[in-house]
Amino acid sequence: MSQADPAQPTEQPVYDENGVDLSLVRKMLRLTPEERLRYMQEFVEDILETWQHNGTRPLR
Amino acid sequence: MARARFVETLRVLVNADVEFIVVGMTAGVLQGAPVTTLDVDVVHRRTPENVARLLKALDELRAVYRGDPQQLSPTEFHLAGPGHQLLETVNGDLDCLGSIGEGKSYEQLLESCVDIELSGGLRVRVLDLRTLIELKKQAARPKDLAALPHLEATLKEIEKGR
Repeated sequence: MSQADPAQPTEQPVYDENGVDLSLVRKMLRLTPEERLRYMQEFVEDILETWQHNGTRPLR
Repeated sequence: MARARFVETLRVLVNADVEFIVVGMTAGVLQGAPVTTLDVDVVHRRTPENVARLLKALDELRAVYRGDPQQLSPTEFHLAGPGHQLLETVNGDLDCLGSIGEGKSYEQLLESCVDIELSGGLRVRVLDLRTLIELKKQAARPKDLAALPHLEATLKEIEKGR
């Protein structure tokens, strides 16, 4: 298998000392700023839709 | 509940020539932090000319105070002050902040910004990650402290890659 195979674990640490998932950080850093914003937007829209569906009101 | 359209909100502000800085967690996301937020926070310049442009943009976004049963809109008086105007718009929630941290205004934050380009040549001024982290540390509220590890890890990864 090649080194680029995404199924292979990398030698880079996955979590930092605070427990932050560095694979998510690296994934975000590979995106353009707009892609990052749209990625979050889609995630938030899904959450808002789920809240609406369940009659949940966000805490402010 | 309005859908969250972060890019579109920024586009309306830019197209109205509003001078503003994206702050808060949206600034973190734009710079790669794996975090989420439900609103866009901006610090606007509080000159009469800019407040007039902002009011025009807010009118286009049909902005009203969040959770206000009277659905009142912000006025020039509100936006000219250092306080926080927490609004809901057709594109989701938008906070227009006259100042952040220990009273830092648009002008005081300008030197701590990066310019980020979005599609269609849309350029937005964004508070840099290092300053965002400093402000979160100063605020030191539980929600700020909770975000810090993600912001700091992102800054470290960026610096490693340089």
